[in-house]
Amino acid sequence: MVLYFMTESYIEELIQKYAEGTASEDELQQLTDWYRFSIDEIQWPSNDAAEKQQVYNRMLVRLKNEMSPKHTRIISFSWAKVAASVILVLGIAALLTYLKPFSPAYISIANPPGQIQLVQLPDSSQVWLNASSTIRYRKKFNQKRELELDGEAYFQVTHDPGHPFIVKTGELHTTVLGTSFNVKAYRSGQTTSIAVATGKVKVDTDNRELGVLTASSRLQFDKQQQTVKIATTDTSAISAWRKGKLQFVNETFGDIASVLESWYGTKIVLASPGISHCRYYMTFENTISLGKLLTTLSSLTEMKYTIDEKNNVVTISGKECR
Amino acid sequence: MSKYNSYPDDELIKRLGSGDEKAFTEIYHRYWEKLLAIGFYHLRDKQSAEDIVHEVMLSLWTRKEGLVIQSLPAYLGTAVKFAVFKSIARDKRRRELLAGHTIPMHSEDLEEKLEARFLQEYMQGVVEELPGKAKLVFNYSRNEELSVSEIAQKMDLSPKAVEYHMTKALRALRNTLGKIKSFFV
Repeated sequence: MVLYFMTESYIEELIQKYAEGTASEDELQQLTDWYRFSIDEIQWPSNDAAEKQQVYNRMLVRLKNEMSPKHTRIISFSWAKVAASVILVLGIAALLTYLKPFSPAYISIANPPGQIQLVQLPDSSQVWLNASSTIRYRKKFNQKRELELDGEAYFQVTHDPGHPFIVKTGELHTTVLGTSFNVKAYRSGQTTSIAVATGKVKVDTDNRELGVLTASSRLQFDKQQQTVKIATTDTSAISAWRKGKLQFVNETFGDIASVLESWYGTKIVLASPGISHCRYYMTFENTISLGKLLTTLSSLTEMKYTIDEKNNVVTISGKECR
Repeated sequence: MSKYNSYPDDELIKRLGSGDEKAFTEIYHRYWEKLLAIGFYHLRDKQSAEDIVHEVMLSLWTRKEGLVIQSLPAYLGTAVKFAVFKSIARDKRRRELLAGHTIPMHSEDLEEKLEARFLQEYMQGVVEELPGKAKLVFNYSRNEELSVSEIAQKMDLSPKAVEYHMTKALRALRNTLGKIKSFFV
């Protein structure tokens, strides 16, 4: 039991002794007591869903940057400084050299919920990033202009036949020469969808080509079923989100929920899983509050919802489809 | 909703070991908030808390091939403790540098010593996983500093048998360390 107040410098002292192996039993106990916490009671001190999403995205992007194989780091430690008992037992002498990491050649942009961001790429192509979307690309494009996307983005690509522009979303690659098109590929969504406004794009996975799309057509890839659907589509509907609308044209409720999750930064749980198959046509201004949207939704569709503000979760139940 | 959502922890650990980035992302997804909360609880600073999560998760990735993890919460729990200690040691050194104090020689090595302690505790965990006789021989030799003949007597084995078990233990430990190319991130 800690009977006195532990000052910062005292804790530093304890840690030093602990590291050097010079701490007494009592001191070790004090350090343990100071560090101890109740795992159930510990909580991140922010209820701001947008901030949480931002932190989540930011840390993930930062990790992915350093995990790329381009950044092989060789770490060194001098065995002489490591705890002597460990060396004696293992009888290994190893020397590796520690090199400082070089500055990353990639740029990552993580766009939080509730906003749209316009990004200009090194080749002057323009990318509109929808809410909760992240892109990653090289600072300087090489032979191929490659970009990774998680989320939704609308591209206006500068025409350059010598350098194909490729958008990677999970297992799909969308290759273009110069055109404007929309890619919707939220990691949590059931489908990935690519729609072309002008120009021509080719979509494939590592194993096969899924299709070549021309203006006003849309390809939908069901990630679970691994099936593809190509159909003509209304050009203005393709990226209504850029004009501030949450528009759904015969979309499954599963995909709608995904979009809402990304825009509002809230987790949506479907208590009746079958409602994810129901399809709807609806349009909202993206400035509408989530509560108002849900009220409208439930009045039109017989769905019921509850909001858990503390944990930032919305639960929806209703009549199942199919 | 990806299927990685539904994998239990040990499935994720297995896939992580073979370099599966999606498994890593799912682990991050499951534990990021708790790790952040623990970091913040001890360091009282949002940026430091983020740095802690970054350090712990990144080292999980770089060590993925050599790790023997029984339980993710247990491993991450230990890792975050050492990350917190190191952060405090680092801040202390930074403050002393700024204040122009001369740093006593040993405090420069504090971070490395903490890493060594983590290594020790981790290795002890690996030792716990050794088969019965090898574990006993290793512990007698290391903790009680008994000689080969003393151990042979104690365990009613021939000295050759003791040496055999000792080699087995050392080889297991050396293999584990060998796979960990970048233990000190």
